[in-house]
Amino acid sequence: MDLKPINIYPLIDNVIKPSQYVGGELNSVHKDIKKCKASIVLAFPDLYEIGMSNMAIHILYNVINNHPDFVAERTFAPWLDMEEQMRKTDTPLFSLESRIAVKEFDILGFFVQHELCFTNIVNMLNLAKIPIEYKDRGNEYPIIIAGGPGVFNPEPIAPFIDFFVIGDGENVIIDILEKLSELKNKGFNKNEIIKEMGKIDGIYVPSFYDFIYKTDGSVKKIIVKDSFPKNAVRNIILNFGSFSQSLKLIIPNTQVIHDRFWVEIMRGCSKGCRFCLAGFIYRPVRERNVQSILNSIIQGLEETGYEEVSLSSLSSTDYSEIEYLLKSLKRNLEGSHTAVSLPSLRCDSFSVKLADLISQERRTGLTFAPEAGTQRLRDVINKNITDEDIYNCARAALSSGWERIKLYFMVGLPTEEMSDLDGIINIINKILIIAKTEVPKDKYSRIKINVTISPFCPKPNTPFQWVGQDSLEILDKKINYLKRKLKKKNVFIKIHDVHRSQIEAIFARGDRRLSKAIRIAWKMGCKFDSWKEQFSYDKWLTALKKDNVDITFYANRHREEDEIFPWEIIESGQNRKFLFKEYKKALNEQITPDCRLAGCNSCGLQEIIKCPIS
Amino acid sequence: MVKNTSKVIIRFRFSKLSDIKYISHLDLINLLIRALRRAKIPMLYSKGYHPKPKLSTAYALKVGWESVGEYADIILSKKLSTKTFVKRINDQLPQGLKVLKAKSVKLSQSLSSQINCMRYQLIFSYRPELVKRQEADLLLKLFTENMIGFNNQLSKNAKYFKEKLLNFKIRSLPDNIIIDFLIAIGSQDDLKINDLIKFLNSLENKRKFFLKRILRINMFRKDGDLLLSPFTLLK
Repeated sequence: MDLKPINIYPLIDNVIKPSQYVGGELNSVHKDIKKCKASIVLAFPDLYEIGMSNMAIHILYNVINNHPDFVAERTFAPWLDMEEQMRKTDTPLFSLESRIAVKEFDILGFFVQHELCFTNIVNMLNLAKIPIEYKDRGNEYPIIIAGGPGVFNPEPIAPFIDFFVIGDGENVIIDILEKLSELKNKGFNKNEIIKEMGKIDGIYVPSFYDFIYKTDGSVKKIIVKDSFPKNAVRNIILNFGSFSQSLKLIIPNTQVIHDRFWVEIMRGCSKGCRFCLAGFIYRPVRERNVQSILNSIIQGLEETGYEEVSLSSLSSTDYSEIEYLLKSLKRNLEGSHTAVSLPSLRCDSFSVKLADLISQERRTGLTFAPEAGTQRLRDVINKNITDEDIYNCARAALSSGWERIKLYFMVGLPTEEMSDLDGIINIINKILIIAKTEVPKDKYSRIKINVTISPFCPKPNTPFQWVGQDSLEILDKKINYLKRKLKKKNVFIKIHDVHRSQIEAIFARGDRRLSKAIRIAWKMGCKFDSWKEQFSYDKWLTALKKDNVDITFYANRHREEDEIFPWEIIESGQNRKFLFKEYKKALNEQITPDCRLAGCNSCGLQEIIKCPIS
Repeated sequence: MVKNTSKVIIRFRFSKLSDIKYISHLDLINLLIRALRRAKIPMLYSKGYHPKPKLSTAYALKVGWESVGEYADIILSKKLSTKTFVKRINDQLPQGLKVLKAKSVKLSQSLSSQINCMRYQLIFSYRPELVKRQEADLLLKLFTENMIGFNNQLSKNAKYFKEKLLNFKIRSLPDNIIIDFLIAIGSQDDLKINDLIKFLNSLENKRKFFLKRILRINMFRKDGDLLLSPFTLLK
């Protein structure tokens, strides 16, 4: 083991934002690695400023370092200029805390947020001087693991990862480290350790499974080697609040994307929007006790000095005591010059009332996501809001002085027709009319209706996992139509790149054969694909072509009901029968009510945990 | 609410050393404000849409440069002894940042308008593989001559540059060449210290030494031959 710290100073003298590579923040933990029974480096495959805005990194860092026997350090993807310096000087990827090569740790754990960071994972392994595929890695290398929402279909990166951790990581990460230190002591080698890890719930070891494909390219059969489990069932912690209580956030010295204190007030969402991956893989809804949230915020703000606190969850308006929470916060934070932000507002007037409650002197922007333009299509995607909700919401916002309203819509949703796009245009027109009546004349020019249009990307483990994505031509046509029709005063339209969305769609439901294309793309220079200026569709096309990948097969094809999916081994909690029923209901424009309000929908969760709803 | 009638200002000098030198000026301001909030220093906030503490610094330090002579003014909402201020804030500052001295004043001109020169130190290291000890003196001589040349060149090129590089001293230590100098700053005819560094780096013998460290030592108001520290200016 070479635990000598790397001298990073000659590298960072001429790079952008060198502060992202030095660490040393308030609440970062420096332990003596040699004295710990097991070590892990938490790797985030994007820049420091993105990774440090991610809740999971803070949570896992705390859980592990609170354990006396274990140590967690961090590493992030270096920006291009830093990578150049590292390659020029033959410096391996290092950890932020001890600045030792990440390959010296027992475990290197990637947090995978989405498909567009796959090339960064490959690049980081390569920078770490670790062979990219597990079959090429001997005992001298760390165990490479991955978790996060991006591994609910782990297959495209399966050949790179020793094992995946599915679901909530708070408990299982300690199980993993305990088992590791125990087996290390017993003299087990790496492969034997990985084999044992496969016995822990919710761990998926890709080398245990072989895939056989049909001539049409779809999966014919999954062969489970030896007596390994047929499924990796998602880890779900039910005592979710107890982990958050002792959480000490690392306070970056340098600006990050979400530069504020946060508290996770609730995990999971039961709204059941059929396009939404997060809505399915974080169930059931678990709320933190309101008093404990209040205590955490008051204490956290005092300890960190932050000027803003965010109440995080997938749908904060739906936290059952949200009004009480906000009122108490307002009272407690009076005079402390602290802002409260609610990141996910439901599209209704109640949300505006909440926003009014916490707004400061100037009411700037509110964000809502109607997602689709007509009631029909919103029923298809089970987004249970009405046109009236949207208009009441806009009316409430504009009349109480909010000047910017941001609206999210998707194009390419299943069953979508041009009339649904006209629905989006109608909504915007109606909001403009509302603005005319609600906003004083002298202030009207300040009103901004920001419309963000994203191409729909079907995700695995959702009811739309059977659906083909619209082709680029159709998506372009739809977007251009909207662009043309929404050229209006006070309306500002932002479009998400259709090409990036297509690449995302390919890998979202890809199989392990695609790992080759990822490597080819990386070799050609693809990295930071989620960064607009870095993404190169041409390179991706060339890479996919080189490996004879049929884009249509992965992105645009409608799947048969009984097709075996590459992510079949992962059991997200909602069973296939339920998801397919939801898909059929979508096609019939039938809604499914929120199970917290209307009772259990038998999504399958009740079979794996004691679900609070059933 | 605190009334804004009698302003209480604390001016403090602080250092920015080691790893914290890599944060930007904006980062530094945010970090100071958060540390002040943690330290429960009663601060006066600005009015308006986005209330902010009234913290003003003298001159931004470039990312990567170090300093033992940074200054800032903070307006308090309540009286606080400077001793308490220094202790409380230093308990909250990360490694590398340290308040060295603080003085309380009633009213003040802005720091940046009061200051017109700064003292810097450039530390060059020999590359031991290239420089034998006896050569070092020659290098020192070369450096000195060039600095004089640089100064003359400035005065030749533009009259108002004449006094920009106020004085400089070059010393040689076993491993380093240390250049101390005072440099005038002003809004219009500012000699960028970068130009000087660029110039020194362009010297032919550059390969034999490298600029290891740039340290801002202090800031002053030059009044004739008198150098007044930002604390003296308060009187």
